Amino acid sequence: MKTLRISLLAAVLSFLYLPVLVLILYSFNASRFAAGWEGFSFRWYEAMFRSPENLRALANTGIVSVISTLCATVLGTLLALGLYRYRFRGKEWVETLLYLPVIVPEMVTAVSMLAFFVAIQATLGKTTIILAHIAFQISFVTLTVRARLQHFPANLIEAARDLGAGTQALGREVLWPLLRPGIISGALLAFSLSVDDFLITYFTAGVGDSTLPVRMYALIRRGVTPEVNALSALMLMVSFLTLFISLRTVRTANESPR
Amino acid sequence: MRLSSNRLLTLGLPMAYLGVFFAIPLAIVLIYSVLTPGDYGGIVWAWSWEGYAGLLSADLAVILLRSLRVAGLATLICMVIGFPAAWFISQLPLRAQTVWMFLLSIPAWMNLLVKNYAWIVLLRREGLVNQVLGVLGVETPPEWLYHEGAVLLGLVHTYLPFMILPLYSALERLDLRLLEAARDLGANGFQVWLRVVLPQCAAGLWAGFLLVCIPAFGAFLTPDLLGGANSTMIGTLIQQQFLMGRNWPLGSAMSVSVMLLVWLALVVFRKAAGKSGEPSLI
Amino acid sequence: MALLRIESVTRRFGALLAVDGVSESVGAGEYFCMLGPSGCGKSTLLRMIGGFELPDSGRIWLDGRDITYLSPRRREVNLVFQNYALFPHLTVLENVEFGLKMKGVAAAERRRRAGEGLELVNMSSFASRMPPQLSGGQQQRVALARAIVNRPSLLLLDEPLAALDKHLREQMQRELKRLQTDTGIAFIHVTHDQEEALSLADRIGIMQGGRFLQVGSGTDLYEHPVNSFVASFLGDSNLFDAQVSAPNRLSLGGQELAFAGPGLTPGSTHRFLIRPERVVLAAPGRGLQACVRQVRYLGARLEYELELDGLRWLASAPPGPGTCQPGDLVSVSVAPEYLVPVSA
Repeated sequence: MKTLRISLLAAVLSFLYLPVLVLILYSFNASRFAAGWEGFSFRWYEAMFRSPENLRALANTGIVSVISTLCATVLGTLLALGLYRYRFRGKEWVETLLYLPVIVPEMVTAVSMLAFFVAIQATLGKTTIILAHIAFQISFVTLTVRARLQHFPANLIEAARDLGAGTQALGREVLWPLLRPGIISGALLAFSLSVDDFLITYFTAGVGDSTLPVRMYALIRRGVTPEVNALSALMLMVSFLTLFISLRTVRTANESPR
Repeated sequence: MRLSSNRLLTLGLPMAYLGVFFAIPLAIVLIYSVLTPGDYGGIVWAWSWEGYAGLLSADLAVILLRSLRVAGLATLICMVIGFPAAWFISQLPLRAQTVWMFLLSIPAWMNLLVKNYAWIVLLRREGLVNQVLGVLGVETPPEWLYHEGAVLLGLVHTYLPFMILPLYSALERLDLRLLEAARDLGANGFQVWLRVVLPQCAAGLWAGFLLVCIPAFGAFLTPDLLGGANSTMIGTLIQQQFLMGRNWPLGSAMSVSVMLLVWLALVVFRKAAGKSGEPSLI
Repeated sequence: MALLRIESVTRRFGALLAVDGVSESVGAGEYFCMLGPSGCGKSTLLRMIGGFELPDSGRIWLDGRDITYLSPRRREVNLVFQNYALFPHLTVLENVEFGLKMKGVAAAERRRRAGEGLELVNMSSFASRMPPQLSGGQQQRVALARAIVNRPSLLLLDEPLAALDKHLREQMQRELKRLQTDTGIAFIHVTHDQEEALSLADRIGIMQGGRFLQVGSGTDLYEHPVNSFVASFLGDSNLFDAQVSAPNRLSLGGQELAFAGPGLTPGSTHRFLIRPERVVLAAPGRGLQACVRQVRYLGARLEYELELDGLRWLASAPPGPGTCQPGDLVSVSVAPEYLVPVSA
């Protein structure tokens, strides 16, 4: 039983990791034809950063993800607070709307965004990408922040008001210190969703507004090259970094509630 | 109402955003699905059931059935691998559980494109797998990529963590004394599983089902990159209607049907989860 | 002059009339308990005094000032929440300092007063702990200190002891009473526990259906309840309907019993209350006869269940020689002043 258990878990783990590890390994291969191993090299990373298209895609990814994450974090946090604080008629509908972006297949979201922007005659570009990203990020931020809010005793806001806190003091002294870990992990989740997103960006991007995933998709369709391996490794790096910060935030929050 | 400005800020602003940039776009797709396709893409404002009529064509039925089959199979495989994996982890000492769940949640954060591309690197004709096979003396290895099997592999690889995570959180909460109680009352091993373990983690199973089946059903990248001409799925078809075939009403009608199927799955989920405690989607 | 004056305050939630035109006042330094079953409107009334709900109509005055629509943070009223609502990210001391900080009290002064507050509730040694590390009773004390250091003229307590076990509850009751006497702050305490109300309050208001049925001292309410709801809500009671034979006499079991107070119309039927401890048992003889059905030993007293002219009565007496057994016949007597007419 014990051997069975360990071998199954080991198999699952290798299945999940090995292909990606091989990919990363190949990004350091000196050979142009990714088949044989011809020694360790950073040349494909250099090549990756020499291509103006790649650099533009990187810059676009940065602009889109940072702006959309900031906006979605603010909006999502506000919504979480509002849902925690107020009871009102039709709250179930708001909850449904909140889960829509989580549950609607991405393809449907993507085409509906395209249809919407065409209908309002917006020019597709970075702005439309950002607007679309915010729309699907908000829910994830709200759900993350709300998960943290639910750990608190009810009435904390009322208690603060009772003790004389105005709106600013309430935010500064109570909500921000309590919610900071939740807001940060929500923001990081939103960030990674934006950075990794392909479909919605693909449908709402104008010509020349490729982000990294869209650029990668175009390159992959052309064939396997060491440059794409390097791009992949870069994408993974960003994901790991985000995950790492997120886990650290949660851990410090759990260790000391301060 | 006092504090109405706060209420407007905390509820009104984000809700307005979600309404305008999420609900209205979905509504537009719903409307487009009953309009007439334009000659060069876009739509003409005239009622028409052409979009939905197009759904009934034989080609489309094949693709729809394939999407259901592939998504269903992917979910089933994820469950078959994921359930014992989650069960084994939940039986480990607490520290080991944390480590294993950490290791299993990292792949959930990996980029979908990268995960799919990794299989291309491994499995293409001159890829690593075939090289190894060549060294071992296999001269004509099978074609690994560009068919339904490859799509299935890619989907399972992508979504397996999303099956294990909710299953684990359900199994972790399982009260082991219940198993002992069931044994004490004369249940055999199989009965304990069927009558005690499964019902207790029904919510986890359903959450896993939704987290795997819905995205797999609407998948675009995996069939596009790993599949071939004969393994097109509904996601690709929708994309083609909007970006290539330029039949927006047909694409919208497909999107609406996909939404209907998802909605159906959710209703069933609600019923099932309602019976066995909190749904845990995130 | 009353410290708090409530004038025909009404609050509805949809179709539910939670508070129905309540008027009442509470004096400075008074300990007032609002007692009633859950859903009677007592918490809503308390929250309106605290400023967390707004009345649909009516006025609330504190110290001669209309506070009906004043925001909670501007009222000289503090609320102790049922679940304590301590800030989990602040230490015990910082929690207690919070209100003073909001008022802009200088740090040194703040620290001193918060320290005093903690001393008052015997929590000084826990000043640097975090709330989640405290037990329920300790959290309760911190919540009290946090409210009291603001020196409100009125302290509201929403079921403050409901989450504690019986032993701790009794101990906290004594402390609450001491704290109230020491600080001289008026307390309004909401509870559904009649013993808690009786042991703490100067005055009790019994609420049902969004109204006060009766307001008065514990003795008043216990000895002279206005109706059978109040009678049965406070303590054990024997309630029965009997015919009034003369202005101050009723007939029961073929006997005539005298009752005190203003007379009733002879010939009418009326409801009467007699408390179990006022029912006196003696060896069978003259007067009202009853049969003992059950005897329960409760330590400090014995409780008898009697059958009397088709009625079931409870009687209680200290244990001792001459204890009756089930099946015994006894004669029952009641002093006129303890036979109280109540409205149905």
